[in-house]
Amino acid sequence: MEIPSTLRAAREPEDVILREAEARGYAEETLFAVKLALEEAMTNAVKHGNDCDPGKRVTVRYRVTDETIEVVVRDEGGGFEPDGVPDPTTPDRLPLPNGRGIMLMRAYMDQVHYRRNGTEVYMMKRKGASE
Amino acid sequence: MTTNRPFQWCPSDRPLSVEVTHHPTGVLVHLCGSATMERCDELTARLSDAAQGRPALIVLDLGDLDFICSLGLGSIVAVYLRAMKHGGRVVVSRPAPAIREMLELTRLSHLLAVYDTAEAALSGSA
Repeated sequence: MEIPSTLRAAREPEDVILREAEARGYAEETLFAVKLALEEAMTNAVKHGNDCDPGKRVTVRYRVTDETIEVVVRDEGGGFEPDGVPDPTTPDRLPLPNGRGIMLMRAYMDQVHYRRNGTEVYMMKRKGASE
Repeated sequence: MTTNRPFQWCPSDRPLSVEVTHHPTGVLVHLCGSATMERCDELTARLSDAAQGRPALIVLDLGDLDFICSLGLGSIVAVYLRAMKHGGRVVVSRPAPAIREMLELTRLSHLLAVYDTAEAALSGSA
């Protein structure tokens, strides 16, 4: 799925993936986690990766099975060093408006890996034992 | 200050609405629906409007907020910073369990006192 670099357009892959996950019986808590991670990944790709450039695209690949939800989001930006992103929960960074997206993705998904110089993120969430 | 309501996220994704009412002790901002990425500019603008008159207290009532992303949390931090500049306070009331968990994970609960009801938040009582 390829979308233009706008936050409005970024909703489409999110809605498709969540509908499919819902149909496969994932619980609301899991859907909330995936929705949050997708919002953060798409925001990063559109705003920080592609700098909202209408000439750049965001590519989303996904696979939803009865066991896992996997999503790959790729932008066309210059990349970044994910390990260089500071912890947003330290006292000096707590009162800053930005910088919580990657931390939330890592907290809510079972796996988050950055690839291709930070221009691509892989995320995976397992279905819980009670789902 | 505990909340026993069931998990509140609504897959139908209600659009965000923001309602501001003025009270003797402060301003109450009732958030309803989902603060998704494309709606957070609007959220920032509405919260900024709420802080316009430099109220001593701004209560963000999150009882009907289904979802918030990091941009939305940023909107809340922005109004917190704005209020702090003139000696005001920002607190939150009635967050659903999922939203409360986000506030705790991000440690924003260290910046923003959390109340069980909007009335308690407006009166400043625990």
